[in-house]
Amino acid sequence: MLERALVALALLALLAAAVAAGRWWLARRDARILRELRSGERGSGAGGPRGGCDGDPRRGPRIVYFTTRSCVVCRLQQQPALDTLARELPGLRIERHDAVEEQPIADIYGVLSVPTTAVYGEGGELVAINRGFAPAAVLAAQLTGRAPDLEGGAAMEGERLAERSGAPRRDETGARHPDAI
Amino acid sequence: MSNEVESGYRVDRNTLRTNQALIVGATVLAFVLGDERGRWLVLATGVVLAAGTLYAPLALFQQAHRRLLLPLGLLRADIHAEDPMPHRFAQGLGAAFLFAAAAALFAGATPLGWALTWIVSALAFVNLTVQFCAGCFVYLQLDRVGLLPAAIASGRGAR
Repeated sequence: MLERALVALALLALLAAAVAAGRWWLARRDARILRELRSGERGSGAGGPRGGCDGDPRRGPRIVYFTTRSCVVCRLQQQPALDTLARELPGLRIERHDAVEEQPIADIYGVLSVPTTAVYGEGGELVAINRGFAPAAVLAAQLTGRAPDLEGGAAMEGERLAERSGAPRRDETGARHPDAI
Repeated sequence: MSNEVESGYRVDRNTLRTNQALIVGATVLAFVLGDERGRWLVLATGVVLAAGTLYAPLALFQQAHRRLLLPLGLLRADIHAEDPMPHRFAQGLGAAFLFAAAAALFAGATPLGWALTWIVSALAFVNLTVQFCAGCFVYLQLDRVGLLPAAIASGRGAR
């Protein structure tokens, strides 16, 4: 039995190492995509991050938002967060893309999951790419240049944003905040 | 949209994490126990997953969080608005793999049996540590090409 326990431990250690390697690869990939998008090496053609928009695409804050038809998180969390933000920041442009139907654009941003949001600041510079649900407060912090507190502060900031806009504790979807349950 | 939330489009991720941790624990323990005793634990784990897939309140590992860890304050709720169906599908897939593993172990195809068991263990481990749910991925791909029955597809209730 000791021999099998050691084999199991070795296999678990191997798994943990594989997971760590995978995380490291994803982090590097994200950093590379961000760097290439910022330098213009990636997606400078039509339909890319600097094309396919009305007016001057480089001016003003905007969010490139990737979703799919079957994404529940997008429907119940990300879209209401973006709606809240659009009300708070009237100059904000939100470009919505279907990650399945508009795959070339999704590839430029390296979209592997939805929702994904790419945040551009006032000067048209790419501030961040959020993979997974990004609360309104985090997006607002990225747009305004504040450093977002992603370690638990996001939810609190989300509440403050909701309070400022006069919204009740339950959001537009009727979903209660997790800690209210 | 509020109807979607109130009609069950909510997932407690800590319940899922408990489920994944216990799947990893049970399958690794089964391997450590050896072929004779371990195959029964593989079969039992498969039964637990299958029962939970068919009828959610029977998901024993998930109930461990809801009825034990949560009331004792050991692990908080982490509730998100998302469709629980992909996770149930993934659990069903895990059960199918474990039944196949148990069948192989009882039939004497030991390497195949343990290989299938370790696949379930590895995928549960990956889900636990990086939140990548392989079964959910399969569900979403099948859903995208319309191969899922209407009763479990993402557009259920809307058709």
